[in-house]
Amino acid sequence: MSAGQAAENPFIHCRGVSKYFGNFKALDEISIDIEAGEIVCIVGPSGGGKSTLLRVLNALEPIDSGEIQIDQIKLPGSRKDVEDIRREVGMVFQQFNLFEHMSIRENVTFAPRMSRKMSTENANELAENLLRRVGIAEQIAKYPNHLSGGQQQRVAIARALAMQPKAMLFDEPTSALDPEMVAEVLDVIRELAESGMTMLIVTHEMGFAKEVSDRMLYMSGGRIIVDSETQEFFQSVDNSDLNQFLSKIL
Amino acid sequence: MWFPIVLLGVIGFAAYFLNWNLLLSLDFSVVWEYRMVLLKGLMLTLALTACAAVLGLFAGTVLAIASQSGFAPLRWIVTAFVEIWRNTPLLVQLIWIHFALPLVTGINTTALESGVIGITLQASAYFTEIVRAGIESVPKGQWEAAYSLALPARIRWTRVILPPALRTMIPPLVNLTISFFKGTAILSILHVSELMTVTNRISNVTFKPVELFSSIAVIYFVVGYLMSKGTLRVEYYLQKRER
Amino acid sequence: MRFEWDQLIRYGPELLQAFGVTIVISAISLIIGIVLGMIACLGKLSGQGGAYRLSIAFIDFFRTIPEVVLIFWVYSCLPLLLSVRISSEACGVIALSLFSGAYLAEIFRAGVLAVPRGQVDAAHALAIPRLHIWRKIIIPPAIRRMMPAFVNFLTELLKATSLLSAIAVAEMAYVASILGAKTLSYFEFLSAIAVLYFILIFPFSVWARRSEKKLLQRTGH
Repeated sequence: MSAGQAAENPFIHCRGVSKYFGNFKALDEISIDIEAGEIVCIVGPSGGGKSTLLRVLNALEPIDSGEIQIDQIKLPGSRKDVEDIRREVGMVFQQFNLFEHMSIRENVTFAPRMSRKMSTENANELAENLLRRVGIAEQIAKYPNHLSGGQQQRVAIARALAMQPKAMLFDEPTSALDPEMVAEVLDVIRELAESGMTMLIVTHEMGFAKEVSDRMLYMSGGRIIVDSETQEFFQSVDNSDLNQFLSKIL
Repeated sequence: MWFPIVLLGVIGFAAYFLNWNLLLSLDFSVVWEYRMVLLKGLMLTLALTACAAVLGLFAGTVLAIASQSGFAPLRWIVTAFVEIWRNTPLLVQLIWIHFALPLVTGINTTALESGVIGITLQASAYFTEIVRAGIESVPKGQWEAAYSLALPARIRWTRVILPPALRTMIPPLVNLTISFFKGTAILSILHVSELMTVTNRISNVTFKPVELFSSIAVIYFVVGYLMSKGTLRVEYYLQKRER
Repeated sequence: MRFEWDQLIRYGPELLQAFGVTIVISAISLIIGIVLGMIACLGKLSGQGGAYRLSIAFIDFFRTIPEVVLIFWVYSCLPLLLSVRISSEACGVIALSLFSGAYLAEIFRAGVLAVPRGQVDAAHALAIPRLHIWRKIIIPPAIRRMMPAFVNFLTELLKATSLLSAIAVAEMAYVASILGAKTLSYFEFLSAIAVLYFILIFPFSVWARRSEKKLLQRTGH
């Protein structure tokens, strides 16, 4: 499947999406389709609209114009639509945002119990499995502030996965981490990529993006400037903006 | 959605229970008739506020500096003073100063004197806390720099420590002044002729408490509200200047 | 001058009863004030519409007028306006409840606003229903953050009960003045209640300051 080519029912579908913060245009008429199973990395200068795009896709920010459709559910939509979309799409934040007053177990089981009405027993079992998968099963009874940043971010990934989402959004998942902890988080995301999850990843880790993604987006000034397959993106795309950005970061 | 329903309920409830005869016969001309008396009362209220603020800030600064002293007994005395005046009600302090203290000292004070003494002492205690917090907000490096330059104590305080401390102190200082503006009404317990006392007196003569107390509630609100809006202005100005 | 201990001992039971009145009136006003404060806090947080404006008006008005004026207004105007008899104790409770409601609304609101935005974002992203977001994500840390301010307010409320002596509620300051006038031992009775107030209020204010410092150390990174 190649970029830009409109398939019949893309998993994520945006048409003319704009978002303002006061007078600042954070997203400028964004249109994009993402297929199920696709792994898309978004790069670009800060303030370029990358995070806003992810937040809009999870209905954390209302959009000012345009339309979003995720797995046939439309935004803007009713409160139920918003909750349905959030159940389908997991999100991982730069600052982890773990619930600080809850243990690791509660952090992971909370959403399935409250939002999917899962029994405590099943939720606990699910949490243990997921925490084993991200490699921190032994920390289950601790609280977030007892964990390192890398561990906290892995818990946050497990927490999002506990909702059994069809897609995952990663908003700079390693930017708040000390360098020695970046790899452990990227390993978890890589493993997830291999399992066939649909993913949108905002990142500054170019090597990782190149290795894991099918498709790359370059965003700047609230627009998608470049949208191409990964190999092409790093080898043959000729865009002065992008070249300058890549030469600075690589 | 629920709000209009609740509002309607409240209005209906009020309409049923209100004493309409009284409400329709309210006569606010009494406020205008006694405007000069009320105005004099307001002036005394403002004078007492200013007195508490100025004297309190002065005493509070002295005490705050004393509380940084290396001489432990001095620190203890300041702490005891501050805690005693902060943790008892102003009303009790006032009646203690006015009725109890003269029995010990043998010096009788007028109501106004007792009121001024009481509110100023309590203000000093509160101001001490604020000035102390302001002083402690000055980074340690500033102190060390002042020490290493061998600046004399007076210069260290007036030129290095107090200016930045003052800036962080201004919003709480203004808030405190507003709370002492409200506190002056407590002096009515001693019949000091401030706004609350004169209103009480007028009410006792004219039998129009609803008009009078409602009006001075509005007066207190307007003056207090202007003072707190003024704080926002001051904060805004300071923030702008820092850029 | 001699300190008349025997007067204090003789009227001790009355002082203790007045001490009880102070505490009971504070407690009732605090409970009603918490309810009013929660309503006004939610109204102000709603950010728009009639409930918002009404909450702001309520909060600003009762925070800005002096407590004594409010107490006198309730005592001398409310019974006339409603043409009912209201005991001075009830007037005191009404006035102090309104005063508490306005102050507590702001304290609650500050607590809610201090919960980091990311916590709420994360809960939204997990599709957690709104009621649960309030109950499990916002309120527990908000309570922890507002505790120092809340306890500090409690000291203000305890001090404010003394103002009810102006409308002859038999709390500590009133009873002490009456006993002082009766026995002419002002110094003994007024000093005694000053000590009682201090014993009542000081632990709360120490606790409030300590926990505030702890909170600052933990969250002030």
